[in-house]
Amino acid sequence: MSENAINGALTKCIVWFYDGNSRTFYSRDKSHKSAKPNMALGIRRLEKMLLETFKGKWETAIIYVNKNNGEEIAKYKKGVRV
Amino acid sequence: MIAENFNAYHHFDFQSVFTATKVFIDEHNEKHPQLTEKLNANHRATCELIIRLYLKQLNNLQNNYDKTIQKVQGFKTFNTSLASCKGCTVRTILNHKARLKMAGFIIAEENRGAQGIELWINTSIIFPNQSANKDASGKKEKKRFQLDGQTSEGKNFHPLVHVLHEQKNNNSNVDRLEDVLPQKRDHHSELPEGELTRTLHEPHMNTGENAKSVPNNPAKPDGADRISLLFLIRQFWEFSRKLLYPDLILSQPEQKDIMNMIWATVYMKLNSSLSKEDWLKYHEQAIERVIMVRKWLDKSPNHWVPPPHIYFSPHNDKNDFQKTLKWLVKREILKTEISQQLMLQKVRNEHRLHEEGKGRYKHLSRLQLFRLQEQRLSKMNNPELLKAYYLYIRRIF
Repeated sequence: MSENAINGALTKCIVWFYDGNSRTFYSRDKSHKSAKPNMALGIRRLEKMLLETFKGKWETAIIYVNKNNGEEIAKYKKGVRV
Repeated sequence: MIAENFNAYHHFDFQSVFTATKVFIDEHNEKHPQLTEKLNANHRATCELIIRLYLKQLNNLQNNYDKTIQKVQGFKTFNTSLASCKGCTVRTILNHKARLKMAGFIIAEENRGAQGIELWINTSIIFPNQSANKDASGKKEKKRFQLDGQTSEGKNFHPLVHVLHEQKNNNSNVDRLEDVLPQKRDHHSELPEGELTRTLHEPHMNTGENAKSVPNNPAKPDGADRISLLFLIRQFWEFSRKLLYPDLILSQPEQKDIMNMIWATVYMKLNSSLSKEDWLKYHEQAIERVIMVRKWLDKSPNHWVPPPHIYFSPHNDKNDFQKTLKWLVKREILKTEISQQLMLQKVRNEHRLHEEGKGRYKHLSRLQLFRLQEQRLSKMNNPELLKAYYLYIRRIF
């Protein structure tokens, strides 16, 4: 993912996997190249990634606003939103 | 008669008001030698701009408007329009307004948000010689009334007019007789030359419309105020969330997105020219549809609805919420049909009892009973029902 895409993302998702690794994913907020960024779309895409792509591989995942000390938007524990 | 109505149909004379403005500013400056209180040339230019546009606005008002000294309306405008007209920033206009308020030139100001501002100017400037005006010749007055008759017809007047040569410092030309073009002079020939204080531009030339002026029809006359109806969308979403998605956890941006979708699909962007009452009625129907969906979900465990961002999506043609409109229509038709059937059944029962000499209507004759029932059924405003009734009557007699 390019530096621009990371900086331009509206949300980020930090995932703690069962194998001990943790990784940060950044949202893709545009439905097409010139579309207005949609935060809800980005969140839904991250959620889809968590619940489908990495299904059963992670223990905790938290979605934050992509800023320093950005506020928490959603929290997932063992595949369930809490 | 013209003289009698003069106060109500007052036509503001630019020249006398400009003179009064100048006198007011000069007097103020004499009394206040401090620079922070003085009205400098730039303030003077703002004053003149305000006065010129205000008078233009007042003169363009409809004749039945009250333009008397007690009830004259303020100058309706926008800070940005004034700034663009004067060629300065909005901050400058705000600063100038503050200074003019301190000086007593502007008596009051009302901020109306998106509708702009309204400024009330010192009445001693706007009505400098009201009594003197009454003595003006009949010919002059007639001319004024002809001008009044030509003005625009509605209340939706333009708050500002755009003047191309507004950028010039008109202040420097005040009281300079040579600036008035010679061919225009005969237009004002009846006025004494010494009193000419007008600036370079002629008021009757200011016919262009400013780009930032108020639109001709700011609100749809028959449509409801769209912003005031937005609460319906929130209400609808909260209700459907409780009923259809009780366990769903959603963040603020997701909810906002879904409400936008509801606004676009369920409420058709509130674009229709329906009245507020009609929208409220539609809202009730939409709520009714949600209840229908809930009942349908309860009927079988195999029934399901997609998540809200798909269910209310404008791009979903397969299983979106709008499909429930058909259900509602079908149900309403069924309801009326059942009520009609019940009515006919009641009529049949009444006839049976009447023949047996029983029931409420046993004392009535057959014709009286027929009239009574006919009247009752015609109240339902359904010709089909009446037809069915007549067929039934024909069959039994």
